[in-house]
Amino acid sequence: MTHPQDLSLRQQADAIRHGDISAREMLDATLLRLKERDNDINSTPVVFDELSQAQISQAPAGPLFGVPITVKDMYALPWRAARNGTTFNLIPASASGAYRNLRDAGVIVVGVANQHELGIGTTGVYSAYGPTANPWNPLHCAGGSSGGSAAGVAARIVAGSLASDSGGSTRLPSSFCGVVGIKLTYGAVPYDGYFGAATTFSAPGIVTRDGGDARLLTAALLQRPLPQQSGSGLRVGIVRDPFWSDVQPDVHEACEKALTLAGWKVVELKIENLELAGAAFLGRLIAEAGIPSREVLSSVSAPTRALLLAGLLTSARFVPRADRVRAAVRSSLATAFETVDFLAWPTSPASAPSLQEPWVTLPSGNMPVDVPNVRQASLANLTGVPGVSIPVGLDASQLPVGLQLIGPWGSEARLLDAVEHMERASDRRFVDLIPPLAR
Amino acid sequence: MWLASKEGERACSSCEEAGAESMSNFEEWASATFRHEEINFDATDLALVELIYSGALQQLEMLDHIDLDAFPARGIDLRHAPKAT
Repeated sequence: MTHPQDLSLRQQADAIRHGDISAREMLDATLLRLKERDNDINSTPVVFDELSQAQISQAPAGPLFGVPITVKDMYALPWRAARNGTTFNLIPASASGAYRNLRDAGVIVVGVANQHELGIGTTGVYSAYGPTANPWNPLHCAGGSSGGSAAGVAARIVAGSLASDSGGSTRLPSSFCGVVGIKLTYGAVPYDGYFGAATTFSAPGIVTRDGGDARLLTAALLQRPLPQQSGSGLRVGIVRDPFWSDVQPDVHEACEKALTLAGWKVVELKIENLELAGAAFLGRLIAEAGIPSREVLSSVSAPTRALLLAGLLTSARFVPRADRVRAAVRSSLATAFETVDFLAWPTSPASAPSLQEPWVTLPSGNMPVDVPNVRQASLANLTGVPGVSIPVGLDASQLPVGLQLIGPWGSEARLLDAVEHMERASDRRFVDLIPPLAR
Repeated sequence: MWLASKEGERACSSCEEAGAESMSNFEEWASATFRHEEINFDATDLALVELIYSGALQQLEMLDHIDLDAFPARGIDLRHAPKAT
């Protein structure tokens, strides 16, 4: 018999609705799998054994009644403060806006998804809970900052997770772990009780194993329907340099093949002022990130502390200039979306690096993976648009590769049309790949 | 508070006591700033901060060279983004 967590999220919801399995049986099977499987990857370091049982009796009969999910440590829950990957209660326990929306759909929160401490990192190496490992190879990073969300979904511990994305934090770990990760449009979900409310870059994200599950969970989070249309015949814009030129050959090949497979019309284009987007992102983000309390600062890892302290030294003179560039880039992007439906490039320029040394070698040199990862991801955060990472196969190391699509403001439904089209065009051979840990 | 600039503007009196009147010596300047903020740090912190700060500054200084006339100040209301196509 198929384990309930080997079913898709929508199959789980259907099975409970039709009485094939009770919500309690679903939960028990999930908690057992979590205990059996998570030791190797540390995706879900906090488990709500009794509290999740209690949630079942209070859950409304929504479209996701009884479906277990995890929630990133950036969101306050009624029974637990948001700790943001630290040991500190940074946002007091409360029903955060994103939690409320999902709760109203009937989900059961079974645990807290691990994350890179303070959300400042794309590897998942540093966390108060310990590093998150990749289900495809536990010696490699799961990514970050929402690494626990992506690893737990890839390992079939849960079928969905609430993540977040301030600089690729949903899309990048999804790429590393071979799952679908969608970053929502800025401001589309209530931000109360959400750590990302502290910046103008952050948006909630959803991690699932395929597009259909992402549509169901994202619709619940947005509290609006995301009607399905054909994802064929789309026009996709390609910006070669640096998004395609400075990536590893395996990654380039897998993403290019996937685009060809999808049969979309591919157009090379130039986005005005794009060369300044990275600087604008950095200038604004440093100012907004600020610096945590001395207690938190002294508790985090040396690299995270150094990032924060470097921010403290950075002149505020860059902020108004960053804002001018940001406005110009938003305008350029709006112009680009008059001629194409989406922009596309590899989510990460390389597959997941090792936990021991999270560096990558690219045509431009050898560097910490955070640098090119943020470069590939941050345009969507700078401009507030939604983006998704789609699994498009494995590289020579048998690690997943992700293709990123970025769409206009509010285009979540169309992005998911594209994801589902890719699944059909590939006979689901990318999204149905199962990591060794879950076989 | 520090008014950080490449020219090394002066800091508050407590920082001046630390002898950090110029950013030309990163270690002195950063140390004085962290002491002013009552932040504990060590040599490892300073080395990592210098690495990150210099890398970030290199990118950020691109913004110093933009033509302000080509980038007019515009109000951004992030709640009112362009409509989806």
